Amino acid sequence: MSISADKTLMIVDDSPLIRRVIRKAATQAGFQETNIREAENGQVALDQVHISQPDVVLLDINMPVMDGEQFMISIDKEGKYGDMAVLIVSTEVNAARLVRLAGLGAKGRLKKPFEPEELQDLLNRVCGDAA
Amino acid sequence: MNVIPKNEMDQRVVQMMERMCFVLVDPMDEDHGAAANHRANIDFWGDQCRGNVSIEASDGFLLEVASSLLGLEPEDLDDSDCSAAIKELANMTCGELLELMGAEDKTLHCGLPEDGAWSSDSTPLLLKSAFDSMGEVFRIAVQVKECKETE
Repeated sequence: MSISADKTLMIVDDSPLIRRVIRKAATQAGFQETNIREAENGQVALDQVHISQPDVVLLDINMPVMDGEQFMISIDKEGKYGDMAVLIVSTEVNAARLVRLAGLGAKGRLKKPFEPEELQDLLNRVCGDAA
Repeated sequence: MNVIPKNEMDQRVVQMMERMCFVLVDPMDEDHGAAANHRANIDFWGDQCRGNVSIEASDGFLLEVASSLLGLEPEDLDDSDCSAAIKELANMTCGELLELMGAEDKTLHCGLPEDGAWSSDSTPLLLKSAFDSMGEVFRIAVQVKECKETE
């Protein structure tokens, strides 16, 4: 599997450290540096989606201003999903909430703490093209 | 609320550090006086209980965590990286704790980590742990301020 060079990614996490960790893993998975955007909360992410919709969103849940679940509710209400794949990257383990997030359109989930290879595998599964 | 054996929480922290941060830590005497100058606090709450997790770590520990996560030399990092590292450690530690408390099928939420805070109220500690990584220290203290027993 490989990720095509034109795929775009948005990292939504309030931790600048985690955004850098995810950016590094994503570039190793095949995303181009220039095709990766970052947002520090759901509201900033929503504003960015209104401008340009990424192919993949890696979404934290527990964030200030607007959390990940509220971001997904807003996207769902606006009918903005299109082909955008939202993947949850969070410490969240509550089964009911994870089911709710899947119902809102989450295509996958990675629990923090994670190994970079697990994130790369998830990205490849969701947006990799068969070689 | 589930009882949380200290050794299980310690094991979770050891795995968390190794898994994501590539940092090997060993549980140590929690009253060991090694200096730790960065602190963070995170609240948690749910239908049945609320409390907080306080953590503290030395500069060297946080630089080791941040440099391992980012693949950079500690000399290339600064205080803002230590601040980001301790907040993320608080977030992940709280996540591990809530999982041990039964968050998979109970309503339990982590708040947002606050840098520089350390709970100073007199609520007794539910759990206290300390970890060593090549002479650098990382400590955790958990307080439960309200708990409704259901069983």
